[in-house]
Amino acid sequence: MPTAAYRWLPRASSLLVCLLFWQLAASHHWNLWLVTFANVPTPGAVLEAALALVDSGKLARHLGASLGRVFEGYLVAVLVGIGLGIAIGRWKWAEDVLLPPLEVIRPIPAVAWIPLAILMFPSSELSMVFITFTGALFPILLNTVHGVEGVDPRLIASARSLGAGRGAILREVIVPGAAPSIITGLAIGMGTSWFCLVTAEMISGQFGIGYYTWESYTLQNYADIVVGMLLIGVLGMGSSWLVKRLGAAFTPWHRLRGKA
Amino acid sequence: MFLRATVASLVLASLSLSVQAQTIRVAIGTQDTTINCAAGGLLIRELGLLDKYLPHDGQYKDATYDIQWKNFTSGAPLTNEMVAGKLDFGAMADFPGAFNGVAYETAGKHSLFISVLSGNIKGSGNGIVVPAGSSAQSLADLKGKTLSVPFASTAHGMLLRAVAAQGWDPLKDVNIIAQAPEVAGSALQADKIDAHADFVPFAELFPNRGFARKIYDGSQSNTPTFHGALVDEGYARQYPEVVVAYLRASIEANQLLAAEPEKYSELIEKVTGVEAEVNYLFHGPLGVQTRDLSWKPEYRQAVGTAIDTLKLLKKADRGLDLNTFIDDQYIRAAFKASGLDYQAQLANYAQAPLKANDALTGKPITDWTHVAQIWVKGEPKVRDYASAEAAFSALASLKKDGKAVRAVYAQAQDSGIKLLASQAWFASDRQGKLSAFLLKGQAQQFADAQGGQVFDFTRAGAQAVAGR
Repeated sequence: MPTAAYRWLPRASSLLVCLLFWQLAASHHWNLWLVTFANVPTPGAVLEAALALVDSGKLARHLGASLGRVFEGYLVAVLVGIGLGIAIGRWKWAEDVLLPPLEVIRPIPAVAWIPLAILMFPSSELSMVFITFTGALFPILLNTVHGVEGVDPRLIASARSLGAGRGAILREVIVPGAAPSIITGLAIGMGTSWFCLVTAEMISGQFGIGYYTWESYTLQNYADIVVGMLLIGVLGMGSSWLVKRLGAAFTPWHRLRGKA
Repeated sequence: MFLRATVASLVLASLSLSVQAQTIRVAIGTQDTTINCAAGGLLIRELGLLDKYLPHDGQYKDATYDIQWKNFTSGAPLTNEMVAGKLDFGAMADFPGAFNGVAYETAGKHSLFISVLSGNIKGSGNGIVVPAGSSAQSLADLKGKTLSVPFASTAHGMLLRAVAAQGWDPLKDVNIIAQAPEVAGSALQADKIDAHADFVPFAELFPNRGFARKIYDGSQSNTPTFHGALVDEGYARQYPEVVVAYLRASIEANQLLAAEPEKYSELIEKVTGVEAEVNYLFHGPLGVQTRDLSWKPEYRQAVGTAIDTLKLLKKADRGLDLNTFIDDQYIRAAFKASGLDYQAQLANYAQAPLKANDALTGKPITDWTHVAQIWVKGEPKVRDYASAEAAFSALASLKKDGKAVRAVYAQAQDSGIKLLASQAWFASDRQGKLSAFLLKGQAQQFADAQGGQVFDFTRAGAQAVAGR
């Protein structure tokens, strides 16, 4: 698609403008009344810190550890979120039995889970995976519920009148109908899972991008903190994009309408 | 028209007011749960001591003060806010203090380390604990195990020294990982970690809560440790009298702690939730740390060691000029203004003395090496005993009377610091006199040399009562 190619231009320029603003604001110590850039590291300092991280030879282990934790938590959240979401969206009794406790748990921030996560799971690794799981679960769950509830009842009725059984209705009507909404949930869940990474890796003690960011805070290395933040941002963006792409491949019947 | 005139005159009035009466911010970052910082934060705040000393003469004639307090659980976020200009003062340990200096330099500013608040020239206050069920009795038992420590804290420095003293390679022979005390507490309870090194009060607090056992005292590594106060240099140059006022308040807080340790231990418990019996370990007489606000060479060295260690760990790339970073002019001025002799304090290395009579015999206690104490629940004062035997028999009768005991303390025979007796080891000599030790090995050594036996708390108690 040639249209897509030239859309990269404004996207890249937008990032460049942000970078330029950051450079100017940080190097000139801009004080913009409400926010001040007086103590913010410059892009140059951050780049230097990033190169130092690459040179340290630990980057791969940091990345590997974090990717593992996020994807493990995410995968479990996908299974649990979609499973529960379909049940809740489909059956009233499931909604009444399952939704109330989940709604109580939903607003609990990841950081509050730390002590219990350590106490409840057999290894620190699983404690961290649990926290990235809590981050990913609810967007997936709620979007699945939303998608399932949004399936046109006339479609279900017609399928039933054509003799489809419960399983067939679920497979052929409900899941395909809810798929676009589920995929939105999956993409958001990917982002929120990364969102919880720093919290999760406060337990880590050794490796992980979140741990690196947190350790840098202890050490007051502000440039390193920004390196960690950007890495999380880029990885989160990349994996969300991947999820959307995969989702689009699996739902060829669903195309978003074009925008002006 | 009338309205506009009113508004204009109001604005003018407020402007002229602000020129005459200047409001000076005194923003102090404290670490309440790091209970040995109490003299530099918690006590000053709770008792309103700062108001007594803030100047109201000379350039401060019309000044009003805006005192702001902010509490943190570690030094890092505190430094963060100081560098951002939101805090003027901060209390923290040698390691985070060194980071504070480095962070200021990086931002093109300076901070000053103006006083010590509490410390120990040998390193007590830091310690290593193991889960209560662990079989480890000393650091030597932890080879090949995973130890956690709050990263770049004063306890981290101690741990590295301790590991090196064992002749171990910190990268190969042990697995050292970073863990904040909040996380380590849960990890110890869930048996997820073989050992944990930490600073005040956690090496005492976790054992007192019953899920951990202290197997190493910082004094074994002979690494000085302390918590002290820092100030923004620009602020100190602009308002030196305010800095002196803050230090005078902390001198008074220190005197109050020495005079009535039980009372203020209770106050610290009320504010932080750290049990009064743990606070008394630090603030009581013959405590774990010394009550000391002076810049002893050992404490200066602790800051130097912190900077060197950080460079060694490649966690800091710039050094600090200790001679300008540590600035004792304010604490000297505060001592003088409070009528105290700074030089004398500088030469005084003693623990806070115990001036008490034996609760059984009523005789004054002169030998402090065998002192034991009991804090009976509901009593305002700790009971003092000249010997562990006397304390044990008192404990037996207290139990008979159905009285609850908050804590039993004993003084370590070798390091002289206060121990939780329930976790201590006791060794008898030929006469059957009991001495207390932190470690079983130390007690065994003493017993072997003196021809005695080793007892744990329960057996020592039974022995002492039976022997009477």
